[in-house]
Amino acid sequence: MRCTILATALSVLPAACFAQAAGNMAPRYVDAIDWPTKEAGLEKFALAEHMLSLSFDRFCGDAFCEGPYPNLRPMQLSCSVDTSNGTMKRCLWIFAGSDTSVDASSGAVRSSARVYTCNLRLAPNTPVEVFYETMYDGELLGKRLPMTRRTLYDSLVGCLP
Amino acid sequence: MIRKTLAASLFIVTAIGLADAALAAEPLAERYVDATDWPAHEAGIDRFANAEARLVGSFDRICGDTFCEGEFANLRPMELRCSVDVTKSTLKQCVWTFSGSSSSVNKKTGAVTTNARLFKCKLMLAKNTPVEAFYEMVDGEDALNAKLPMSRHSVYDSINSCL
Repeated sequence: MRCTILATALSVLPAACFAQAAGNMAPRYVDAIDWPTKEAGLEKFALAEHMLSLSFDRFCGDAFCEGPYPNLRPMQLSCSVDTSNGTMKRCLWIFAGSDTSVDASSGAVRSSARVYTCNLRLAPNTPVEVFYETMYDGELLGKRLPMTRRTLYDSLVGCLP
Repeated sequence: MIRKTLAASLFIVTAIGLADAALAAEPLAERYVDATDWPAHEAGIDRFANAEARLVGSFDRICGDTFCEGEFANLRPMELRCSVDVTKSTLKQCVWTFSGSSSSVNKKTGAVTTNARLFKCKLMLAKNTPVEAFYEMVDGEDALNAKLPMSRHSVYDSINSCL
């Protein structure tokens, strides 16, 4: 009897310890703002997003904003990081645009609006630091993404109208 | 010959007179126009842009403590558009468009999931609100919270029930 209880205890304890360790394990993928540690990437990422928005605004009038939505604007950039090797996994850039007009016979305001979610075509295993270095350039949209032959502009063509 | 010439002249004069009358009967302008085209084509652009900027400024100031505390922290005004009844110089309708987004990262796959929405909010204008009265209200101290002319509702009330 005593042997059975001891054997049971020995089998339960390692399992419990393992479960607890697994629960505490850092997630494989995190938001870029939480890399290298929680919220440690906030400022760096915000600056990259800001630079991207500025670059888009300079570009917009002669490119995408000549389409159906002249007020097309960047809403949010969101990226994931693979914590196992410090590389970018995915980046999505959200845009919104609207267009309104007045019906001359009824006075109704007609409005059409759309949201676009564009995938930045990053090279696999782009190191986070290399990604950030690219983002601090003045003319971002025409610049090639690290380790690729594609520009940021190429990621938006086919996504934005 | 003289009789024929006189008859022809009379016909031409009458035809010209009829054409003039027909032109005068044509409506001179459309009944409803964009507020930027009131009181004349593009004559309201600056005034309307100023009104929109004031409303956007007010919205930005209160957003963090109100609407932007919800699902979409980056909620932002996209466009304000109003129609004017030119026969009465009153506002017919105003629609204020907003957009907002949120995103999250899947910890196991690294996928980025996004959620974005557009909101079209009608301002709760009183019927036959004079365009001038609307502009005066927006030029006041608190454009967002002031009551819309002849109304018990503010612009804030209008977007509060929409966002």
